[in-house]
Amino acid sequence: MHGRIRPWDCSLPRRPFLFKKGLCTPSEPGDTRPLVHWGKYTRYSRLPVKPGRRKTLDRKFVLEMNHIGKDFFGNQVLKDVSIKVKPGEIVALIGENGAGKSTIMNILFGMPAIHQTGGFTGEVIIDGEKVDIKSPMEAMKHGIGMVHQEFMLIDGYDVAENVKLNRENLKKTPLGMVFGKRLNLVDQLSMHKDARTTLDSLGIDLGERTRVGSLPVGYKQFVEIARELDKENTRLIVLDEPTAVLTETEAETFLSCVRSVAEKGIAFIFISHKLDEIKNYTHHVFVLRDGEMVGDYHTRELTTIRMSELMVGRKVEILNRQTDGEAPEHREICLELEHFGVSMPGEVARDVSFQVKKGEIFGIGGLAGHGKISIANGIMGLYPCRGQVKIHGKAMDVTKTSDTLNEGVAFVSEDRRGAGLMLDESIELNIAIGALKTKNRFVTRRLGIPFYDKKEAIAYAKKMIQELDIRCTGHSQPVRSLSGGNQQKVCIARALTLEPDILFVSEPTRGIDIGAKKMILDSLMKLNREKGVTVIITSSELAELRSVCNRIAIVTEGKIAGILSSTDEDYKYGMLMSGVKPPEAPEAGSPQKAGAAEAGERQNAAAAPVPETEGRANS
Amino acid sequence: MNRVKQAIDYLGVSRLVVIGFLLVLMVSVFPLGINPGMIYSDCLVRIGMNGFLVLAMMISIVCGAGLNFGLPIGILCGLLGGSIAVQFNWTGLAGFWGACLVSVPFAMGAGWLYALLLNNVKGSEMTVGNYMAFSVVSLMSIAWLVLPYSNPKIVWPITGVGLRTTMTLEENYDKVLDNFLKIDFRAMGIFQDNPYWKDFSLATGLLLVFALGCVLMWLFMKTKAGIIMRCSGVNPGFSRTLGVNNNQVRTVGIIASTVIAAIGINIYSQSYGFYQFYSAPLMMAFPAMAAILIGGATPRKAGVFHVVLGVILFQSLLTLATPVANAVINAGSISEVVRIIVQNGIILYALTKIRANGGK
Amino acid sequence: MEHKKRNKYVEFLQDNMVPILFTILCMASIKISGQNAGYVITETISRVGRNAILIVSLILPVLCGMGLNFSIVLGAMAGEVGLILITHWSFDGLKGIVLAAVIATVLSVILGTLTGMLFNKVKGQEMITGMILGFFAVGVYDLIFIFMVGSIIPMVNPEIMLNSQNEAGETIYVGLRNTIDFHAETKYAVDNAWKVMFVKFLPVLLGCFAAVTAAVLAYRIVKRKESVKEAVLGTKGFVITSVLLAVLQGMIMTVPAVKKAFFIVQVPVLTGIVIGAVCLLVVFITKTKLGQDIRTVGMNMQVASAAGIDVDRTRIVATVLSTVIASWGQIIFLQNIGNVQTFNSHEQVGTYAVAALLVGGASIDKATMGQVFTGTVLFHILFFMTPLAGKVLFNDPQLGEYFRVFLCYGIIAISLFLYAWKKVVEEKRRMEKEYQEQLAQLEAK
Repeated sequence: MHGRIRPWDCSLPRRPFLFKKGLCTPSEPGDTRPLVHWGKYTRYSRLPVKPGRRKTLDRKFVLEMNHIGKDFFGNQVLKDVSIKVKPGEIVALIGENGAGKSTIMNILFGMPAIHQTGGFTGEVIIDGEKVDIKSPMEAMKHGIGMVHQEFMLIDGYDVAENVKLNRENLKKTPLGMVFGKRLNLVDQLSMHKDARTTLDSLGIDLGERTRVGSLPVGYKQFVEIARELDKENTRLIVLDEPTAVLTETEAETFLSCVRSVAEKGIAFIFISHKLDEIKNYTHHVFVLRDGEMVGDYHTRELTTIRMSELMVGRKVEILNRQTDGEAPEHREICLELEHFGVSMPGEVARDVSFQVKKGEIFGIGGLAGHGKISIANGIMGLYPCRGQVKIHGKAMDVTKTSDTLNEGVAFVSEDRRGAGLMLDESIELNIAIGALKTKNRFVTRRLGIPFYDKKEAIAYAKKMIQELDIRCTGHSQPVRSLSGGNQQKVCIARALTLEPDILFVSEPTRGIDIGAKKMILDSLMKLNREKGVTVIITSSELAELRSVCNRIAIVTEGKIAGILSSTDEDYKYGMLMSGVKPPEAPEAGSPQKAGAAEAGERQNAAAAPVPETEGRANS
Repeated sequence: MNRVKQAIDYLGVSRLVVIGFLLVLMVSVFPLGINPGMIYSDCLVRIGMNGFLVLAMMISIVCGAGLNFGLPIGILCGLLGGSIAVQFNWTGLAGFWGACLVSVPFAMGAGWLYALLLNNVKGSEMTVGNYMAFSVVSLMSIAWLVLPYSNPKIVWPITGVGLRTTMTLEENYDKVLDNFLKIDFRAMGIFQDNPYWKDFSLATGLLLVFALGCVLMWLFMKTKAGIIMRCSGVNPGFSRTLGVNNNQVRTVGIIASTVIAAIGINIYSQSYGFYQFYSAPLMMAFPAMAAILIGGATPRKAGVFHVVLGVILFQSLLTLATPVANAVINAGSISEVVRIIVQNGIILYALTKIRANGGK
Repeated sequence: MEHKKRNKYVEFLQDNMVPILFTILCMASIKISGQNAGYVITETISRVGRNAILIVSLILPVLCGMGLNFSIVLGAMAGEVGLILITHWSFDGLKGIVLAAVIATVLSVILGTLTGMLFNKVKGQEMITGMILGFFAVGVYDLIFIFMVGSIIPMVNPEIMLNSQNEAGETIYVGLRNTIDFHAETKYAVDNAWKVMFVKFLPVLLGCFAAVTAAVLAYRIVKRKESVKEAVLGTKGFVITSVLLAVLQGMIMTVPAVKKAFFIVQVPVLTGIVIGAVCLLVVFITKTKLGQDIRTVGMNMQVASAAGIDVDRTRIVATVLSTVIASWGQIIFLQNIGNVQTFNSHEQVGTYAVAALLVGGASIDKATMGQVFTGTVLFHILFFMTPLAGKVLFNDPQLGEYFRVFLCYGIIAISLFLYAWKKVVEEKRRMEKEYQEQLAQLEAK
């Protein structure tokens, strides 16, 4: 064991049992007992709720995942990761995108993707028993529930029907006895009664007959939680970024609800990027980075700054970036966004403003789902957008994609196999098509009709294959059969054929092996150096951005949280990504927020929410 | 050897089986005592007759609208043009081309409306297109009855109003294309002592027109516009990043498909010798669909090669099957039944493949 | 408040646009044709009686999210096979019909399973696949009953088979005749088993309905402690039917013209009972766990599968049930006709049933019992009235004939179009809404 201190292990000094609400702050460092409101008084609850449970709570873990390792085709994604959760504990699992959080959850739930790729090493122990979970249904039987980021709810059903989905109460019928239990009647009455009881135990005001489709987003989470609780044997619930879609007040209500459920002995694993929430509502934190467990702390021992350092911190190899000549910062502006918003599903950008200088390599980073991807897509007119875009000082109507392309903008899509390539067409056509459409290159006119000049395209494709080192059997090979890295090179080759002034590259190294990664980044830098192309890279991999970019904008919740230089410290990146302004950052935003962050530091691990919010409101 | 292997890969095993079966049928004609000259000429005529309808199917697939279940709409436009030509007693080659020409503006209008419809129901084009075509066919049935046709040759004899269900072209342009530059062994008096080949004839004009259509289509696919249409059909998401207006491309493709279908039915009818009205166009999309699918096209991708191979395979199989089946098992209309099974089986098979190919 | 109320009326009109429009059309064509009410009512009852089950068979696939099941043609074929076999064996009368139903059930379970498996491969394209599958099945059916019966399948029966001479000059029987007449006891066996005058039957029916309605209402109010309003709303189908029947009864008793119109009408009670039983079965199924699963799958396949429902199996079960019910429907249909057009009877079954359901106001993803019966009545009145009206108006019955075909395809086409279009528009609106919502949330933070 890690010798960690459990809240209920601490012997606390005696405190007044009752005190008036608001008269004094009940919670102090080290005291994690929940509060019970009683009229106008507030008191500590006696932990745990049922004395009988104390014995089991003391020593046993509800879940132990020991020394978990997993590789996908030789690519080690998890190395010796151990997670332990006690009943009634809220445990946070944090890490960057791709750190392995979802992989470890997939292992816990026995997702088919894990077994199809050769299983994993290490052991999973539930309630002291070693288990081998083969499917999500089995996980359910072991009492593990999941609240998904995307709601698994049926809009057309009411709350009770959703809570009881596929576990409906049944009434026996004669037909059911003959043809099996599927012909038993659904007992709506008792179903609604049960659901009401469960909802009441959650303490939320939600009609069990309300249609789920008409509920606000915030309530849908409760329905999901209620569904898990309604299962008799649920012991552990995984919350996958539950507050990502909630407003602040909704999130607070939700998390208090989670806490009160935890008091009844149900454990939670809480995956979130919002470090404030983690600080305030969890007991324990596990930090993953690159598939390794880099932090196993009591929440009390960590500050949000320390958390972000742990998440991001690593050696950054600065590649041979252009240093000579005029610093790019002083050059003219070639792209300017003002209050730019894009409605790309799942990646909404709402108010993005920044300027990119000519000849710069500019990075756009941030967490998945926060809108970084949508910026390039919006500029290319692929999704509805608003706000202003100026290219070379000229305001553009970006909905007209061909105008933008004519202005010398090229785009390499993040969706390589979807919007990035025609998979069943040859390399040559995939390279040539962009210039054919936009620049009328590879066109010969016969009888005045523009024909596609395949010969010229082939010659050009051969040249590009050599230049970019595209490994293929020939220019006519369909791109479907190329490896990811080579497909990406084809995409880049097509963008280069447009001879762009500004090149947007989205997720250039996603799903690509290390050798090809370097090759692609090198070729982007070469392009920038030799042809003076302004390159704007959008990537989830911060390290990669920091190794090639001059400046990096971090997008959080659809806004630019800040623009950093690649030499800035790790924690600043981490803080920006989790929506907290780094205290000493030059553009440090509103004092209120910074104050809140500091207030957060002072707060104790599982401090009650009441004073915390008050503190925030006052500062 | 490598070449052969490549060719086999390109065609695919299932198509090779079909080709093999066709070859067996073609050879079996000789021992069964069926007149090969006649039956082969018949095959060629059937190929020429149906070729344009299959071409219409192809352009619809290429532009991304998938299998064109709305082909009857184009066919109705062709029939409208044709009936106008007959109403005014146009004759000969000029009359035939006149009929085609008159059909084109109707087809363009109808195609534009149909494209508008399809662009609003992306994802359900097939179902909606099919029933829209069916309802237009039945609507036109009413129109055939009430439009003011007056030529006594084409209206119902007693009442004097409404078109007849079939309208003969004997005095207009029956087989004008077939007979254009026709090579007829009997008429030319060659090979008359050869029992196998004495009845052979080649409908040169008809095949020339089909060949011309194919070449034009092939050339179009080589132009910039053709390449971009193909790209838009194969991957609309991708072509959007190139600044292609997919809806516009689809509109152009569907209009082209409708126009080609309109010309196609005129070609079909001049060879057949009759125009067929009322419910006849209802099921005409399906043989064309089956033909292009048997040629190796998918509901996403098609080329001129698929058209040519498909129409040759499908139509020859059907033409040869009747006499061969009759000779072997003496069962009258079995080929018609087999046609229904084969045709719809092929379409069903292709439908199951749409999803397997990752269609959403 | 006033404004809201008016909106409600407008909404009601919009929701029921199709049935209202078709009611007007029906009225108009009855008026134009100048037929007397007695004829119209008799004809309507007989047509509703023979078609209702076929249309009921469409409900489950609609609930399961597979759209309109055009492949009920396969079920119809199974029913025909049953009837042909009992005719061949001369196993006549009601017991023959029952045997035919058993044979048809077995066959349609097999066919339905295969259809369901096919549908699982073409999720999202079930309707067009169902239609093409119908064509394909017609081909196979023809192959079996024109060529294989008598040659490969040993069967000799001069009564229902075609005879020809083989080379040896012997008479051989290959293939079925185009029309197979049922034996006298089989013809109308269900219909004639128990016929009652409508005027005598109506009070009984009314009584039954009133009793059931009262019982359900009482249960809801007393046992489930719902308010009166809630209870009435919850059982509105029963309530409306009872009220309508009561009004009819009242009119028959008071208005002589109505009485005269209904006086000649006879009701095939057994058919009615069969229809009622099938409807009850379907309603029962929708209330079971299976029905709940079917609806869950219909509303959201991903969620259903995440909740552990076997989506593919559920879809197959829904298809099988639909096919089986269709096969019974075809048996009821054919015994009412009295013969089977061996190769044509099943051709338009899918199209007509689907069109009738849509006329009742159903859509691709919604169908209720009420819509089934409204649709059956309206569609079939129109179906036999339009040629008559066409004859009066244009002196040409053909025109009416084409008009009804057009109506049939047109209603399907428009429903399909509206549904697909709505889906596209809704998707757009949903994305826009989601964007606005997300923006609002982000703004709130």
